Amino acid sequence: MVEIKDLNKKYGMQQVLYDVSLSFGPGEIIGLFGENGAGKTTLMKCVLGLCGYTGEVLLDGEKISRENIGRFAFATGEHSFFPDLNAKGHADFMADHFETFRQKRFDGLIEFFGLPQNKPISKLSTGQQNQFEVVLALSQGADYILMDEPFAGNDVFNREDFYKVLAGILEPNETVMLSTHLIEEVSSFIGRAVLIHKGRIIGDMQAEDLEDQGKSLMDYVRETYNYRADRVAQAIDSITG
Amino acid sequence: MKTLEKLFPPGYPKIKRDIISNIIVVVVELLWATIWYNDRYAAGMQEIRYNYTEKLMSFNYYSRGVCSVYIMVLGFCILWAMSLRSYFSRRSRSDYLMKRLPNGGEMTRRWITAPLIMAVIGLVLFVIVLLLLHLSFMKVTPAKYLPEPEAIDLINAFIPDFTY
Repeated sequence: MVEIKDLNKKYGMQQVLYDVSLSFGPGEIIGLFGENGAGKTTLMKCVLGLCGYTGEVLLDGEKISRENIGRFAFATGEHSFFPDLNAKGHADFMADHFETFRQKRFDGLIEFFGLPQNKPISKLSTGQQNQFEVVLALSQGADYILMDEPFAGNDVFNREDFYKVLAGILEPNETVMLSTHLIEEVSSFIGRAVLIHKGRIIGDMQAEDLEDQGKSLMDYVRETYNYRADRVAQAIDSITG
Repeated sequence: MKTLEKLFPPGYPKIKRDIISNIIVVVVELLWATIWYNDRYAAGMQEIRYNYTEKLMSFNYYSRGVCSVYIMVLGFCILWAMSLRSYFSRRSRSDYLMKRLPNGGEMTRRWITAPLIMAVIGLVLFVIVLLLLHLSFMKVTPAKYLPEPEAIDLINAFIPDFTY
């Protein structure tokens, strides 16, 4: 179980996360939604100790340290791979450093995405690089897999197939938190939606509860963000009127 | 080569180029230090020949260039270390991956070890050169032109004299 308690983060004088408290446990698939600049990426980086923060992040009651950091994997969207190393080299490196590395899953996902094994990752397209980062994160053998905009640069067919593959390969104890703007696409895939707005958690709902209420995820997001349905008409009026 | 690769960022493409460049830097600096010493020593002997002085200056007056040049080698090693460190965040954010490794020292090891080894090798070579220059100073210089004993003491040879 990951417990985030009263997490605050500032970049200089600018506060970007305010008293964020959240818990998630084994087997959950969580969608983290929010507008650009809401704090999704920063929250993930704080959980992984990649930036400083005040507050607490615990894994099974223990602080995150060298002993348990290997239980997290992260697809950052900022290309956390070695640009001049090929896929095979990355697999060897991961296997050297993570006892839990899953070679079979790595090979299978590389084949699924059709990524070349012997080309330096920097020579791949942006979409392929994003796919590779996701492959690395899923193959590490971590219990908690955080993915920040993992589908950026991927076409819709690749994305749809990938959700199906992901649903098929994840083990019951594996937890995935993914941030994305593609709300409707992931709504059938995730089990929980966490909404973040200007650094604050404003919504946290299980998919089952939404279903019981007869609401779609998009309805829930619109409601929570106080989405104004008339803003489009107003904008068109003011521009063309 | 595999062992060498483990001292650099994974996939770093310029291992051979960096090592050869640094060897060239050290060799050039050693030659420069030796030439510098010879120039100053020759000038010192010239002054004696023209009766401007009766004895040579202290050994470390002629050899201080060796220490100055080694500081430049250290500077190159520091720049190299900075370049290797920045590799992890230059074209990608592989530092995010390195910082999550269970082995916390892995990233530091991969950017500091090679420059450190080069700095130590450079130091050893410079010490050898300094010792050889000191030996030549003592053997080549006629006894009557040698300065006072404390000025040619081997221990003091390693303390550069910048007072002149």
